[in-house]
Amino acid sequence: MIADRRRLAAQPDEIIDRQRPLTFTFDGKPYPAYAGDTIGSALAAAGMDLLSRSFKYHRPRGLLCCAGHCPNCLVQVGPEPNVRACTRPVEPGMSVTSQNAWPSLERDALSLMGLAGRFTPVGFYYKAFVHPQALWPAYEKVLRRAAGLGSVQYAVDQYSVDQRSYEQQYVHADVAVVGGGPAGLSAALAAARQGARVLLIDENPALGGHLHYSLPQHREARDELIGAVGQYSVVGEPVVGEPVFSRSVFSESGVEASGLGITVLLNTAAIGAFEENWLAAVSTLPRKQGGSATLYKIRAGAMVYATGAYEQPLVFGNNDRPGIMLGGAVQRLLRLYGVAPGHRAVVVTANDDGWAVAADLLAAGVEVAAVADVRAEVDSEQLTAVSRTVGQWSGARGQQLEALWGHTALSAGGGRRVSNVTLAPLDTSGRVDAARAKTVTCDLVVVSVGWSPANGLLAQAGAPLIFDERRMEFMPDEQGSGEGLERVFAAGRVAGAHELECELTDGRLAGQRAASAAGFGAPPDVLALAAQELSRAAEPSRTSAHILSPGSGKRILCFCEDVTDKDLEMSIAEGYDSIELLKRYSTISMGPCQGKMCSRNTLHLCARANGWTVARTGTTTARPPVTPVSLGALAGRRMEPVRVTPVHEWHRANGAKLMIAGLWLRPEHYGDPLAEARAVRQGVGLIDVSTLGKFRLVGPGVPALLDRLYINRWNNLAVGRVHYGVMCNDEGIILDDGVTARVGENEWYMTTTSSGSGAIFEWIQWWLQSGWGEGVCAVNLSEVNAAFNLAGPRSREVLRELTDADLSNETFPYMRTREAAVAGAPCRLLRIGFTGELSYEIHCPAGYGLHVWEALLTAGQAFGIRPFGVEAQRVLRLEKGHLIVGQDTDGLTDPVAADMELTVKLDKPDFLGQRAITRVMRDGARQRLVGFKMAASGVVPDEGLQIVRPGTGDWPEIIGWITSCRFSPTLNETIGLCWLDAALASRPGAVFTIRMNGRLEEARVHHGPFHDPEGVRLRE
Amino acid sequence: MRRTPIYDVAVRGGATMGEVAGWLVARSFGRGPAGGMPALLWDESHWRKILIEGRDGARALSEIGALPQGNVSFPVGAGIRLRETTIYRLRADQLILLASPSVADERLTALFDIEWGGDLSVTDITHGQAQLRLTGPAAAGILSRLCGLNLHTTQFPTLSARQTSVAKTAQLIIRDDLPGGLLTVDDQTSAVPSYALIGARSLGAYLWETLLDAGRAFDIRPLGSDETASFLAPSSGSGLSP
Repeated sequence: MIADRRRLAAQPDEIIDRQRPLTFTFDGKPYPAYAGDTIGSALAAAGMDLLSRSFKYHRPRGLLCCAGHCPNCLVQVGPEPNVRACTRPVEPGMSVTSQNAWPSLERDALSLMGLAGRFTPVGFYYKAFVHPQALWPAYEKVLRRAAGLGSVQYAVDQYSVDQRSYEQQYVHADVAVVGGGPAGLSAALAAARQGARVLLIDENPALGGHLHYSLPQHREARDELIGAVGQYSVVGEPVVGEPVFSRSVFSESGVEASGLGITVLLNTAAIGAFEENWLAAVSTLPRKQGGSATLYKIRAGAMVYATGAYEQPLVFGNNDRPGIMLGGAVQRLLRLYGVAPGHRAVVVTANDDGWAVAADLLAAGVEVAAVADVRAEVDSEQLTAVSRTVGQWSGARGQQLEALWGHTALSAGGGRRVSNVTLAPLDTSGRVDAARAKTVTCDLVVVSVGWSPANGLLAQAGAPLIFDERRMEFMPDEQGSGEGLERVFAAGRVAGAHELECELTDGRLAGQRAASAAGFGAPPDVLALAAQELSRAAEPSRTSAHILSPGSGKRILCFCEDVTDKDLEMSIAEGYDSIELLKRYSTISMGPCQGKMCSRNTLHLCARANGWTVARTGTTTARPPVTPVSLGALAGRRMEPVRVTPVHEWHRANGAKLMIAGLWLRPEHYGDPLAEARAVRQGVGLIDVSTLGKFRLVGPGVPALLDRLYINRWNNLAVGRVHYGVMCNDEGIILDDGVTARVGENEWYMTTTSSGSGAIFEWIQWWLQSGWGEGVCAVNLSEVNAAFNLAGPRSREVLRELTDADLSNETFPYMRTREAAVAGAPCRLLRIGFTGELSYEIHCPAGYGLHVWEALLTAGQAFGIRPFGVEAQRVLRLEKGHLIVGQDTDGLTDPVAADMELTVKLDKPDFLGQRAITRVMRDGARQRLVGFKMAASGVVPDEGLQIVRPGTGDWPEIIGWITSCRFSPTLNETIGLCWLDAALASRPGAVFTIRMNGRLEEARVHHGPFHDPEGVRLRE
Repeated sequence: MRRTPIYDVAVRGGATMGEVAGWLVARSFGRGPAGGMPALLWDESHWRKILIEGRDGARALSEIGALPQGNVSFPVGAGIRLRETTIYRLRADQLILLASPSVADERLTALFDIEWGGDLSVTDITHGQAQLRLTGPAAAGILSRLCGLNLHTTQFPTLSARQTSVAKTAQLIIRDDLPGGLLTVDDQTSAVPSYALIGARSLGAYLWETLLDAGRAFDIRPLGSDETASFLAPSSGSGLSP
C-alpha cells in the first residue's frame, strides 16, 4: 500500500472521516483514503501528482481546479469514462484507471506527440487527412486511439458492469435557486420567507460553497445560513455532509404539510437553461447509494442564478505541469481533505485571494518561497493586512518569504511534477521583462490571478451580458430586457459580488425579487437595490488584465484540447478572427470543460490580436450542457410503449411469431403462413384485427360529413349497409381506406386501417372543430372493441354454432351489418371480404375479446379452423388485388393512379381533394398501380425493387417499382402490385423487367383481381 | 367473463384472480397489509367509464340524477362527486362519468335511453380504457418520474382531471384523494394522494409494469380487489368502492 504521506493533522473544516479508512486502486495499485475523500484528494494525499495525460500531446496533468471544472483529472471508474477525480467520492474497493495513455500513465509513448508539436498545429488534421478520401476510416482509427478520452468497457466485475439506473424526474417550484453558496443560500431563504416554494440546487455534496474552504472567519456565517435552510428543509433531513436525495424529497404532500419550504438537491449540476424558466439538472449518486443518475426537468416561476465564478489560470510556459494549481484548489485540499498539496510553494497572484492562500499554506506548515503579485502598487488595506500576516507567519517559521510586487510567472520547469518556476517583473505597460527573471525552486505553484463569472446558464436563459472594463469581467446587464427576463435574477459572484457581506445582500435581494416575480410578497425597496449596486461597484477588481507571459515551453490556453497561445495566433492569422469562428477552427472551449478554464483568456487574447476591445470581440454562444452529462442520464428510464390486443397472450402462448406494427405487437404468422392462407381459401381461418381504427359517429349531419371526408358517396347508404370508402387530403392524396356501416338512422360505425387509426380520428376531429358536421359527435372506439375476421367458405357454419342470428345470404348478404350475440357476448357483425372469401368481421367489447376468440376457435375445430396472421392476410388480399394504404401507396398517390377511379364521385357538391382529383382525371396519371405476375416460377422480388427498361445511355431507365409481391399458394405462381409507367400499365400482358440482384427478371402486367375476379366467393 | 387489460400481467405477478361484477380481476397479490405503505397500485379497469359528448351533456346527467338539478356548471378539468359516481369535465362539450362496478346499472342505463335528438352522444368506453389507481404518500413522486404535470395541490387539487402524457402514453389523470387515516397510521388528518390513470386498454399492461418499475425505489405494492376492499368500503367515506 502506498503511504498517505501528504495528509495533514485533522483540520477544523475537513469533511473526511478519519475513523473510516478505506482502500481503492489506481492503475492496479492500492491507495489509502478516508470516507469523504475524493479520488483526487486521496491520490494527492498519497503524493500521486500525475493523474492523466492531455488530449493531443499526452502531456502529464495533475489536479488544477479541484472543483470539477477542468479536464486535468479525468479518469476511468469501472465502465464509466471521463470521471473527474477531484469531485468523485472514493469508495471502498473502487477500481480507478488512467485513460488516454499507452502503455502506462508514467511512461506514455504517445507523449512523443509533443515533440512533433510544430508539425501538428491547430487544424492540421483538417488539411492533412482529407486526401485521399478513401483512407479517412484508417486515419480515423489511428486518431481516435492517439487522441481521445475514456472508453466504455464491458468486462464483468463489481465496477465494470454499469448497473446504474437512469431516471428522469419533473420538478416544479415557485423559485429555483442554482448554487448553494452564500448568495444562493441567502436567496433561497429570502424567497422562502416570502412564502415561495423554493428548490435549491448545488453540484457539491454540501451546501455552503466557498465558505467551507475560503477564509476561516466565514465559518460562523456558513453555519448560520445552513442552519436556517435546515429549518426550512421540507424533509428535515441533514443538508450538510450527506446528499439530500431521498424519495421523500419530492413527496409532494410533505411540501403541503409544511406550507412552505426549501427542497435541497445536492450533487446536482444544472446543465442547461431554456425558455420559460425551464431548467435541466443532473444528479449523480455514489455507487454505494445506488449510483443512479437522475435528470431533473425543472419548471420554476422565477429563477435565481447564484452560480459563482471560475478561478482562471495564467498562460505561461509549461503552465499545465502537475503541481501548478489554482488557489481555490489548494484551499480545498488543505481545508476539506487535510492534504498538503506540496512542500515548497510559490504563489502567483493578482488579487487578495492569492495572499490568503499563502496564509493558508503557511498555517498548514507548507513553506512559501515567494509570492509574486502582478500588481505594482498596493492600494487595499485588507491586502496590506493579509500580506503583513503572511510575512509575520513566514518569519515566525524561520522562512524567507519573498514578496515580489509587479512580478509574474514566466515558465515552469520539471517533468511529471513542477520543480521550479521562473518569475519575471512586469514593466509599467504590463510587458514582461524576461531579462530580469529569476528561477525559484518549488514543487507547488499556486495561481490566483482572477475569476470568470459562471454565467453560462444566465446567457442560455437569455440574460444580456456586458463587459465591465474595470472588473475585466462580463456582468449581467440589470438594464437589459427580454422575454421572460423579468423572472430571471443573478446573485453573488456571477453578478460581481465577491465580498461576503455583499454576496449575502445580493442573494437576499435577488431572492425577494424572485419570490415577488413568482407572486409571493413584495419586491425589495428600490433604495436597497441602489445601495447594493453601489456596494458591488465599490469592490476592488480581482481579475488581472495580465493573462499571458511569453516564457519557454508550451503555453496552454485550452487544457481540454491542448491549444496554445501560438495556435490561437495562427488561427487568427489564417482569418479565423471572429470569436465564433476561432472556437470552431481551434476547438478551444469545445472540450470537457466547456470553456470554464479557457474562454475568458481566449477572448482577451483574441481581442488583443485583432486590436479590438473585449466588448467588440463579444462572447461565444453559451449552449447546454454547461457540465458534461452521461448519455444515460439524458436517455433516462427505458420507456418503450407497446400496444397489445386483448388476445395477445393467446397469440404468444400458441406459437405466434410477433411483429411490430407501429406500436402494436401483432402475430405475423403461427409457423406456416402459406398453410394459413390455404386454410382460409379451402375451409376457415380466424385473424385478430383488433388493431383497426373504429369510430362511432352520431348525429344527423354524419352523411354530409362523410361525403366531404371521403371521395365516394354516403348520403344514400341505407341503415344496415356497409360501404368501402377512400379518404384523401385536400391535395387529393390517399390518406386511408376502410369500411363504414350505417348502424342506425343517426349512428355510423367507421373503421380505418390500423396505422391510420390515430391520425384519422384527429383528422375527423379537426374538421368537426372547423365547423363541418354540425352536431356530429365522434367517439374513438378503437380500444373499446376487439375485432376478429372469420374468413373462408365455412365461416358461416362456424359462426352459426355460436349465434342465433340468421346468417343466411338472403337476410345477411355481403356488405351488410347487424348486431348479434356471439358466444353470449354482444357483437357487431360486418359481412365484408378483404381476403376475397365469405367472411365476417366480428366486433365485440374488448373485455370479451379472449372469450369470443376462444369460442370461435373451439366452434371451428370441426371445420378445420386455423388462426392466421398478418402474412397470410397479405397473401390473400394480394390474390384479390387489394392495395394496402401506406404499403402500396405513398405521399404522392392519388386515387386515379391507384386504380380507384370508379370510387371517385366528382358530382358530389364538395369533398376533400375534389379539385386536385379533377385535374388528375383530366390530365391522366404518369404512373399507375397495377398487378403483375412473374414469368419465372419460384422468383419472388423484394418489395421496393426497381422496374427498368433500356435507357439511352449506359444506365437503364427506371419506370416503376414493386410495392407488394408474394408467392400465391392458390395460383401457384408469384404475383404482386407495382407502380408502372401508365402507358405500359394500361396493356394487360405487357412484359417488363425487374432489376433483381444484378439480373433482370421478366413480369407481365395483370389487370383486376388474380383470384375470383367476379367476386362470387365473397357473395355466396 | 370479461377480462381487464391487466389480467395477464397480474397472473404473471402472482395474483389470485377472481370475479368482480362480471369481470375477472386480481383479487389478491398476497403481499401483506397495505397500511403504512408509501405507494399502492391497483386495477380499476372494470369501473364504468361513460363518455358524454355534446352541449347537452350536463343536462342529461342532471336528468338521471348523476348531477344536481338546475344550472350545473363546473370548469374544464374539475370534477363533482355525487354519491358513488364522479363526473369530470374534460372539455367544454365533453364529460366523463366514472362509477364503481357496484353502482346499480339502472341509473346509468337511463343515460343511454335519453332521447335528446340534439347535440348529445353517450358512449360506454369501459372496455376500451385501462384504469389504474396509484395511491399513497409517494404517488406523486412516482408519477413525477413519468409525467411532466405539476402535481402540487395548488395546481392539481383533488377531484380534478388532466389529460397528459405518462410514460410516453396519452393518459387522463384524475386526482381523487382518500381521506386521511385510511392508509396512514401516524397521520389521521392529511388526505392520502390518489391518482387514477385512464388510458388506452392496449397500453394498460405496459403502464402497469412501468408504474411498478418506477415505484420500486418507493416500495410500491400491487393490490388486488380483496386487499383494497378493507379501506375502500363505502363506510370508509372514501367515495370509492371496491
